[in-house]
Amino acid sequence: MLRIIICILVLGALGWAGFFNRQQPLSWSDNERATIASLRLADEKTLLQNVIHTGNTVWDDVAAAKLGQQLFFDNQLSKNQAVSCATCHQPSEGFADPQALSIGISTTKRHSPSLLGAAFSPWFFWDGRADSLWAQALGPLEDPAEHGANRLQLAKLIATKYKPQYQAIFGPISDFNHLASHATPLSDNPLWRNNWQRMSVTDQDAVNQVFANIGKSLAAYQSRLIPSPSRFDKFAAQLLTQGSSDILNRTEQQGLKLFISEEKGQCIRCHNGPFLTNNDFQVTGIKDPRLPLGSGRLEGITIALNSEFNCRSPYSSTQDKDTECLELDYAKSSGDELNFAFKVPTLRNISQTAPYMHNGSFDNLQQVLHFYTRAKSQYSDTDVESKRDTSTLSKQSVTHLDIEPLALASEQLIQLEAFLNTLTSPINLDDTWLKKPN
Amino acid sequence: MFLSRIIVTTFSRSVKNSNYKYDIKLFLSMLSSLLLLTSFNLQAKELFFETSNDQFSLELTAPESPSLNKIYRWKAVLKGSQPLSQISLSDITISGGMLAHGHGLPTQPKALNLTHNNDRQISFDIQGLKFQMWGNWHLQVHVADTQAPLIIEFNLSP
Repeated sequence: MLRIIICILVLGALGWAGFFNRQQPLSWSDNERATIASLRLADEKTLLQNVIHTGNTVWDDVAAAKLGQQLFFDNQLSKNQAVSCATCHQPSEGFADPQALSIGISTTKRHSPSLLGAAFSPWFFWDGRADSLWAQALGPLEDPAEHGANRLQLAKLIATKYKPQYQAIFGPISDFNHLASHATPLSDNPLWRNNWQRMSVTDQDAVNQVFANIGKSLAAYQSRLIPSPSRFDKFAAQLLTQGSSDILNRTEQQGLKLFISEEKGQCIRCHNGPFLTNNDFQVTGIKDPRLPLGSGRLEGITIALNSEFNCRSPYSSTQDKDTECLELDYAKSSGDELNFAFKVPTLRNISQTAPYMHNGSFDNLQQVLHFYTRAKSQYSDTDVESKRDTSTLSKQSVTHLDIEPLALASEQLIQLEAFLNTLTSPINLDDTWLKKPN
Repeated sequence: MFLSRIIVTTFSRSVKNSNYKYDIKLFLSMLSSLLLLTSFNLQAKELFFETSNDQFSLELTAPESPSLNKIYRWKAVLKGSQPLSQISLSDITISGGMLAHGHGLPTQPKALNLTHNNDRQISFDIQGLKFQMWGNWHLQVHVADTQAPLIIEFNLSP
């Protein structure tokens, strides 16, 4: 009988302790508070001071942003008059694409990421093959699988449909009537390439300048796509000023603790700063069975260094290239760490932007977190051996992995997901900016 | 917090590589440096690192406390036990990374603007430094074809 009473008392005490513990607010160390502060979205004025607008002097020009908005939603910027930027970067989907691989003229190679906070990154595309937001905008326009257009076609469109708006921002524009209808140096269409080669250097330069300005206008629009403070930001503000906050519930706060833990969640390693990305390139080892092996950042940086629209190009409006092109000039361009490395995406509005990863291979956050908790390269020795015959890849290059198994319990995965869902908020813009303008 | 970790790390490394007599002198000099440095940093927010090996001593000055995901230029002063008049920019290479994470620097920093201050001292800039994660970092400066690099270690915390 005594044993039974003791057991009841012990169980009761444990139960009370557990209940009491669950009622206690979580405590935060100084280091945790500092980390939380580093993740918080600053006020709009401070944020705008941190926009990376390399080579784009009209990035904050309202007229340029309005022109960019018109271009962003205009299907005429495509080969079949049916594809716009908004086809794959849908405002209702956090400016991402709900499909794993986007469909423009045909199926694209990679998933279309969210554009929220894009203006705070020095590198663009999953493989970082563009070093500015405006240069990035030019890539899809001439990609045969995306817009499938060509720069002369687009320059002519600007010279007719958008002439007043363009000239008010960038000055006089030629009508290009003396040139063929289509031309670009970058196409598998021999007619378009041939037309380009037959153009004078002066005409090529004039077309390139208008093409670059299309990118700069689109970048001016996209630079405004900044989320407003989320529940996490409001929690952080209250925690840091008042010492505690219940804006996030206990599960969400436990998720935040895991997220910023160097030992447990480790998410903070790559997902740091106010947009929860270091904008660097990491190897997660995720393989896409639908696509051949690609080399990620290793390929991307090679393209960026040779791009006709990079920071060092004459179309980049930089005053002093030696001080403004540091990201390009000091980019790491070799080494195993770049092979199969893809850009760390923002986690802002992550609940709106499924599917996930560079190939869109995870349908939901549970799948992403499950992958990270086991973290193992999906590339096999067979993949490496088959590729070795046709490229310079070494076995070592595929085995580099930037993540390690987290071995989190299922309850912790629920907590992490709960925290990630607190990062969603409306875009800090009037609705008129988020749709096709009249 | 950041500064104190640097001082402790730098001191620990120096003590490991020196004898006891030298340790006391070093400790006193570092203590005075710490005081000077602290008062100096309150205004200029500069950070100072130093390390040495059998051939060289290296002083690095960061103009501001490093944050994540920005590119920095640090100042370096290299002193040699032998004349350094033959050292040129191409003799200096920079590397580093995070041992605990198993990766290197996210950028490829380079030495720039080399000046021969005197027969045994040169100064130069290290341009293109970037740190993309919080945690323990090391930075290595290789001079010419010497075996041992000059290494500094530090912790980046928010």
